[in-house]
Amino acid sequence: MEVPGQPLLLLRLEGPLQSWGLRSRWDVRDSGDEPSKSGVIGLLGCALGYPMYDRRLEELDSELTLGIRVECEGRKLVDFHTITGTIPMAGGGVKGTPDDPSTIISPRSYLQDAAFLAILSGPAELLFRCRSALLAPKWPIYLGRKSCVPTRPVFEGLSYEYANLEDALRRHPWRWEGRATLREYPARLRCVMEDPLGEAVRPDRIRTNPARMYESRRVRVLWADFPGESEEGETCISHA
Amino acid sequence: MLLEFHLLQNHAPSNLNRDDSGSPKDCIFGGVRRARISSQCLKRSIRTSPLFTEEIGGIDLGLRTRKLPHKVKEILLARGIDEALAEVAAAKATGFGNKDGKEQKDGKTAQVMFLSPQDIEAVAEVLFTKASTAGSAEDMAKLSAKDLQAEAALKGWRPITPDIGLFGRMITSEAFRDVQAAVQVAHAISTHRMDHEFDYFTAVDDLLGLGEEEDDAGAGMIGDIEFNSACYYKYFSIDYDAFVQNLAGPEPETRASEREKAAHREAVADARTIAAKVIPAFLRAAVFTTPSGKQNTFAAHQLPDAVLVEVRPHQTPVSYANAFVSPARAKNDVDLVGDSLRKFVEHCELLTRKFSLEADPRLWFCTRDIQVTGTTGCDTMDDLLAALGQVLAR
Repeated sequence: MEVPGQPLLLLRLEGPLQSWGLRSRWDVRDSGDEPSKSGVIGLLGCALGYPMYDRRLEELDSELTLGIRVECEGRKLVDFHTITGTIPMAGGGVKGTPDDPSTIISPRSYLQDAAFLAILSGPAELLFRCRSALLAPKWPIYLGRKSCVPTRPVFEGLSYEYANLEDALRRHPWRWEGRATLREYPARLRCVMEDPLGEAVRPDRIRTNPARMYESRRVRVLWADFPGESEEGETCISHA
Repeated sequence: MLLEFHLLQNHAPSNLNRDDSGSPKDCIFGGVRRARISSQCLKRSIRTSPLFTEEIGGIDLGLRTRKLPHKVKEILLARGIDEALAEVAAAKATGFGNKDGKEQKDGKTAQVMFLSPQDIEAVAEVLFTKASTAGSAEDMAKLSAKDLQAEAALKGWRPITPDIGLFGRMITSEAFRDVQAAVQVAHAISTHRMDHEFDYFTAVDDLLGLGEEEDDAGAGMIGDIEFNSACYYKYFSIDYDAFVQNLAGPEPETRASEREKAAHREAVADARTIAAKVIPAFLRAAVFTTPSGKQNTFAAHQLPDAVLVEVRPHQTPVSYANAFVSPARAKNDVDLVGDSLRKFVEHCELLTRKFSLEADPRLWFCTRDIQVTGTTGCDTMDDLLAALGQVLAR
């Protein structure tokens, strides 16, 4: 019998709109090009029933390592979002009155038509706990913003088939429900993998301080050759 | 338990939800442009619809207001506090809702707050106690609104109204708790490829030709309005357990007294009764209300052709948007709604089987003679709402 590899939790993040904020402050809400770590940890927190500011979210963040593979690059959409009413100002004053309300313009970015494979490595016991939680989440799951509903259950599998995170990013079969709309399969897939020696920085380590300041982490961008498509019917490998 | 509502609704030419340039909102899905109605637009149209309020009838709703001080003064006067003291108390209440308790000169709170009657009562209670013991208005005036706010802070738990429980709220004050929304609403997208259309319009002067000289043969003004016609897939879900907990408060700790536990069981039973009324009201409003954008121009008041309700044991939301990742289209003898329905039903059956998605019951309403495997067909919208009500009553 083959020696099992490292335990890995695989998620598929698919939906018409997703939004993975990186630097949002106040009115302008951006989205990164791929799921943020704070977003994915938040998604697991939702499944496990950890509320906002719960210390356990920080523990999840430090115990799990995240790798993202972009199955289909999204395109940015900026939604024109307005909030109308009487608006408190920083100095304690108020803009607008109930009879003559004021409007805040709050542009919110989304990724449209994107699909991602997210892979997490960490202690097996924790990954199994996440697996059970994803199969029966405490609160409904969403893709970075509550209005972004997934088009399939995000849980793809808990696998021992790969030597490590990078091996899984390179070899796990490609799949996207929207594949019929593609003219051709991508030749290579962009991956963003957490790596302390990585060349790029993402400001998205979840921290539960009251100011909601995030910490940075280092990531490495690598390109995986197209690993082949998973067979029809393999959509929902559960490795139960 | 997760309640999922899927709607297919075809709109005649309209511009229900616009961006900053006045164009109908859109997005790319499956590589092609789609019409879109934003999540926030749909939620607001439901929350503010008279139908929603009427259906709920008799259950208190929250107030979105800056006039907390007015309500406090009313309550204090009714409880026998004299005018001068009540006036000072109201001034103190203007400092609620901002962290530093800074009193406002205009007699209102700085921010609009979504408050339940019990929130208002709790604030009034604190100020009533102070006013009864303060002696004079001068002594009362010396109190700091910041300290008063801290006293009104949540001691245990205080009820909120169903609309706050559904849509959530965020207030920067320790006197009121934040509430996580129990409703999840996706942006509605069209099932098909959408092209923007432009309506060229002219406004002709009714008094054209009046006067000695012919001014011109043309229009008083010209312009264009962007619009489209789209069949939308809409998705709503309600996290039933979160909604009940929002209304009934958190589970008491294991070491809590028997009395507290009994009180909580009663609160949960009440919350379930409210939910059984509010959730069908939400669905009715979602079915019968359309966003108001440019409706005086387009009057696109069309109702949905299909509504699927799925009651799931697990909180695993699944949108069926991928039914339309290859766009629906009208062809030969099948119209756009017919093709959208066919794709929807096929995809829903496929996903249910592939992912073993559990739901009990699954209620299906359709204006056409189309069945979905594993669903209970409902002939009328009233039948569907009644069936949903029965599920919630069990």
